Amino acid sequence: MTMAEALRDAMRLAMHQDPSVFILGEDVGIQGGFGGGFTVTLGLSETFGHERVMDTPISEIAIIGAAVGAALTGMRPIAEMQYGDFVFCAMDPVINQAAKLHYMSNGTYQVPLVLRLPVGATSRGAQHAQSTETYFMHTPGLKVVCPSNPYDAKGLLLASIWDNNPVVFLEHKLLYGGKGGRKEKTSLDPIMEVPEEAFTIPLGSVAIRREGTDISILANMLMVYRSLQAADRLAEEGISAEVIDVRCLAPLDIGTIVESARKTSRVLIVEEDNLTAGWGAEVAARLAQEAFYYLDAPITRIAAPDTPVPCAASLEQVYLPDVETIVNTAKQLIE
Amino acid sequence: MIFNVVIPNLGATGGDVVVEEWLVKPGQFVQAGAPLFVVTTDKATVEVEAFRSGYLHSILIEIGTSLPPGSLVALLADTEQELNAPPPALVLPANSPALERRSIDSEQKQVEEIQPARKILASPLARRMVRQADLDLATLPGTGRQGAILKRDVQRALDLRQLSELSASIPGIEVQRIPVSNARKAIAQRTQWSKSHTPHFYASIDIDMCAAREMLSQAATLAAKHGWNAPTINDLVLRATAKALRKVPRLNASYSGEEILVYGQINLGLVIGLADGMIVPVLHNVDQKNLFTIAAQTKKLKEKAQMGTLTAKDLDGGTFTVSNLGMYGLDSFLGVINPPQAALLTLGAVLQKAVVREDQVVPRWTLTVNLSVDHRAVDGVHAAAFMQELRNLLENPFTLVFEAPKEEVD
Amino acid sequence: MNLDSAVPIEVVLEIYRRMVRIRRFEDRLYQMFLQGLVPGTLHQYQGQEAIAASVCMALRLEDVVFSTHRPVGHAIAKGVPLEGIAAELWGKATGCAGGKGGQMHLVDSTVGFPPSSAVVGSNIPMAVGAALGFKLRGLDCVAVSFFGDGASNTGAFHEGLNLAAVKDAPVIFVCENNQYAASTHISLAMRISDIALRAQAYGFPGLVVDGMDAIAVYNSASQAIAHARSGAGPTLLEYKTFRFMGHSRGDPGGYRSKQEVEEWRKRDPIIRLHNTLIEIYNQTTEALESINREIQVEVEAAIQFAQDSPDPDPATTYQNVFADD
Repeated sequence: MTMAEALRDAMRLAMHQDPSVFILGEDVGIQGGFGGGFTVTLGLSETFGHERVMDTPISEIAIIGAAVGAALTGMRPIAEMQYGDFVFCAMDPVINQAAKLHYMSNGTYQVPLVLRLPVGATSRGAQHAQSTETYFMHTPGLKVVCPSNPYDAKGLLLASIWDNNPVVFLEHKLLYGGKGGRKEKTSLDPIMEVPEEAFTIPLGSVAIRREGTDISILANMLMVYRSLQAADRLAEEGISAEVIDVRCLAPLDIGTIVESARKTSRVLIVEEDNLTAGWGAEVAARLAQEAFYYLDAPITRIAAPDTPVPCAASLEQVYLPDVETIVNTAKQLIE
Repeated sequence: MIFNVVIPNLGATGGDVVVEEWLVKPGQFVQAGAPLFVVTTDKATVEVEAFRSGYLHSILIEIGTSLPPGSLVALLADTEQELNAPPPALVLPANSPALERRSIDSEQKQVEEIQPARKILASPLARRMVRQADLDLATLPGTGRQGAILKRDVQRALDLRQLSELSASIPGIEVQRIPVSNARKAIAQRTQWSKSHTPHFYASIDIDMCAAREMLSQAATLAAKHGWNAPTINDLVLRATAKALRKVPRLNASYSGEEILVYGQINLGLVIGLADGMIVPVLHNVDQKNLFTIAAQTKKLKEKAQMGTLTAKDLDGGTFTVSNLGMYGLDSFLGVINPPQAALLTLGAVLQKAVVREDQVVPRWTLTVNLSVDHRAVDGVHAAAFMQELRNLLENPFTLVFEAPKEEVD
Repeated sequence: MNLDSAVPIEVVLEIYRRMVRIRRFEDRLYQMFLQGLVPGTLHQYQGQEAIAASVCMALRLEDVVFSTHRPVGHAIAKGVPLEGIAAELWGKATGCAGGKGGQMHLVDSTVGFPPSSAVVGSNIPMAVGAALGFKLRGLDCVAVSFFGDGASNTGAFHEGLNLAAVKDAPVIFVCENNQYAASTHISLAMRISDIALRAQAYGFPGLVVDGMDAIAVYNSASQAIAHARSGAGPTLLEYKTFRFMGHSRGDPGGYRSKQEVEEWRKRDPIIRLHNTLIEIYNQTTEALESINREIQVEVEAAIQFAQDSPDPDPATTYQNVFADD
């Protein structure tokens, strides 16, 4: 399955299993439409009808606010922002309500919603390109998930739907695997075997994609692939890199990351979001605290520069961390 | 080349002086004759000039220490590149206070030690390892960025320690404890460094010494008549070595990492055994000295060595070393190179041996000579050429006293 | 719609009770505030009681009410126990939110009162979402969103109303137009004077009603609720009313003329209902006085309870960030 297919499959299975699960967003169910911004909901309205796959006007505040209200009163809504960037129109319901109402109600109400955000740079310009993890990682009460492949996408989305907390679920546009007219230039489109039945991957886990002994590379979404490529190149030069897919930022499995740091004594974080106060900064700070006496090199982050995302593909290449940079930085840390 | 900077005999009573101040910082260039450091004697405060130009490699003593003349206080390097090289043959007389204060370990960045204000950079992991292993961070060289000490540097120190711990002792057996003098320590460190950092290879050759013995016997007669010192086998070998090095200068060199430095002078170190240890005074410009001169000077050096009166100048500047255990009846032995030199020649006894000549077995006086070579600077080809030349010269000893005609330029 | 149609006496009496409860409680709080005895902030409801009480009376227990930074009236009207409200204001462990919500965030899941949300307008889309959820499940419950005139200018209001309209959501939008958003008079914030007009813009009924007339409020609310329950979609009820106190604690209300305040005080909804009960429903003054006294005792007891209650366990600071953790 491609990642888009895996996500669709997860929602289909969830909606079959539990009538309280429903989808709302722009262009998600329109007959003859695209199935959301990136085909993920394609065909679901045919199976479940247009009430459960609910098309909304362009009203981000209402979409997420309504999802909160529905979640408070017994539903499990899956709200979609057409582009993750648009969540900023509706930060109030996310940060001030969804994240906090469970706490403010002293645990007597829950907000079991999933907010799906397509993220990542794809030569569309700065308002359709951001990686938004860090805002949500910083907010207590939200879970933040960012799968890198179809198998994880399905398992993590199902887990997110059944989780009784608000989950911000980030999906990288270049990993969807859109086909035909929906295919992204420079997309990776990972395709893999994904079990047909429902399964969940517990939230709050990271995945070691490649074991190594000389340096730990932490990355998420698209950057996982670049890191793996870099690891191959490093192996040619006798450097053994461990690559960890940080597929869940909140809750964060810092334990596995610290263990890796202790083993290799060097950590390199590769992230697509902007450097300052990105998710890498938080992980670096925790590592500095918990693995300090095991570090043989400074914890280093490779991230996008502190600029908006440029549109031209050539500039985007400069903006995004690339394999070359990952390889060179890793080598520097080892010298 | 690296030279010793010593406290000169400052006239007066020759008593101890106190080094007050260094006028040049390690790494800086000093002109020959320019003031290098300041001492106070019992009479006055005196500036000591640099006896040659060079770059101050390292300061080996602490300011304010009281030292006798002749004490080694610093090292001067000819070239900037040598600033990073290990210090040269530094086996000092056992009474050298410099050794008491600090053993010369060529791996240490001595600059950092003399300037305590400078912070030691080390990774957290390295520091933890050092703490747990009870090492001293200040003694470790750092190979990381900005000279930081990393895990690999600590690991190397641990490995070395483990190695030395391996040979520490055999438990449960009665033991006689011999205190380790500074000289002994110096030998231990130098030879250990040499063996672990210099890839040794060896070449061996047997030399027919019949003609040489005959010649020496005649030379002894001549010497007696004039009251000169009679040249020994060793003296002859020194002369031959110098000439052979002129022919194969590659053996008279040092490996510096970036370059192979082939020396213009031929200064031969002679290994002289002492009560506990050895000392290696240097005969300078041996190729320019005739056999009787060599004989006289080597005798003098031996005497001074036994009296403990060798000066820094006597110990300075060796480019090649010769070691002779022939007096102990050994056939041959292999030695440890004296860094930063590229080679060491070791001699056994001159013995009558059965040798094949024209398909006949005949007794001939034979000297077995071994060469220990630094493979980084020298290959088998050079070693072989040198040994062959040495043999030629010694088997045709008149070539050692008579020169080839020199062309005169009008 | 007949705003004067007859309402059963039990209903009117209960509406009266709830209004008195709100008034006595809020007045007592204000008194204590002046003495420096109230620890937190206050956004008081005096003057608007008819709206909370009548609308909530028209609801069932399983219907849900989304309130604002001024939730005390709505909470009391929906049936949140007075003790829990008082204790929450005092930040005690026995508060309806365990001291973690505070005055602006009252809650009680047993009476259909999700945590009130203080960001103006934010509760509007939430009510729409709850309503959509009911509809999806085929339940005939409704959701109510209470908000003020100020909220009707927020993006959340417009997006929420439009979404509710398009989806025929069973939600009732109750706008308590007390003429002022904090200190800003409504004429400075919009060009129209009847907010109910905005429902028309979104294609569903909007009604302007005198918010000081409890009977009228009840009848209009009942109609709108029935409309929603039938699947016909939302209604915007605009109740003209007035907040007798300042916007929040310590607000002396310098932006309103004394005259204006006095004019509205003359239309006190409790006095009006009191008179209606006497004149139309043939109740006796003594009976009503007795209700008043009962409630006074209730109020005192609740406040005493709050003051006597323990502080929350410090460990609760870290609890309930996530469900199931």
